[in-house]
Amino acid sequence: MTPARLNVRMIDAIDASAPAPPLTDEALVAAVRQERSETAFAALYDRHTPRAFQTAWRLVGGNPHEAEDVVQEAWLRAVSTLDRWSGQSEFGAWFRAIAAHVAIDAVRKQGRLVLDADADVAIDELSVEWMDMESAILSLAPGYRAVLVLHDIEGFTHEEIGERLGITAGTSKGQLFKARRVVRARLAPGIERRS
Amino acid sequence: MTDHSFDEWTPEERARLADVGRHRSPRSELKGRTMHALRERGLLGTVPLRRPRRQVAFALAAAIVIFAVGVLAGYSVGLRRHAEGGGAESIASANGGGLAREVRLDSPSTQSSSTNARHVIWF
Repeated sequence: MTPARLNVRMIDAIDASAPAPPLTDEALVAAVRQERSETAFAALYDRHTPRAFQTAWRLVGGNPHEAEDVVQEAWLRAVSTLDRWSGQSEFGAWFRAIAAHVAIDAVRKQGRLVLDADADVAIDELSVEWMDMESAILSLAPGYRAVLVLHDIEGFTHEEIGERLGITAGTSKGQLFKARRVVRARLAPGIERRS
Repeated sequence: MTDHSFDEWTPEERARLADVGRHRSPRSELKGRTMHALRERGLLGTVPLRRPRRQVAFALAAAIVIFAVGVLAGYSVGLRRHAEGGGAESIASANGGGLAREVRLDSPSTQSSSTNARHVIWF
């Protein structure tokens, strides 16, 4: 019995409503790749969409419809390139990286992603009303927000961020420094204000 | 994975940062929409055996064109035959049946008059 056949049988067992142990991502991916199993895909979707949606939502600036489009496109890309997933990395992390990539592409297409190494934080950016953390991050310029979200929330390295955004690791560090400063200023106005 | 960088967040800030967007979730329709898009691209479910609409339309258009060309060709050949037949008859009648008579003289005597008439048309 081949592993793929075994996977499909195991998935069928889920449909039989018998409580079964959750299938691994490897088994579900194999079933989608080889059998184009909708049940297996639905299980993968349920497992990994929520976090990928949150990643997309943060990167696109809090627009839920845009984030949904990003997630859908990310699944299309992921399923059509399942061969590239080695199985050594966590599937969720691999999928979130695709979602982040799609989200950055979406922001870039709208001409909102400006990543200038020499750009400084404008005073207007700092002199705003008090905000909570979520509002402070969402109100950042898309370039700052992308670096901050990818590094501080999603856990990407500056090298990985540089690769995705087409900037150097040094520029990524500089953008992160400024982004943190803006967020801090919005969380506690007056503390980080420039003279 | 994260670099130990400058200007780090405090633990409290880091916790608040991790909570950003955590309560957000997509609408339930997204799942169906995504699966539909995957099915349309042939990445999920069984592939329908029916031909794509574009192929069917192209085959239909090609069949119509071939039929129309055939009809036009047949019609023009028929017209030419009719015109040549009518012309020969009129020439023959204008010459007082001389041409027909000449051909008939060259034809074997065993052939019928209708066969002779056909020879008159083609020669």
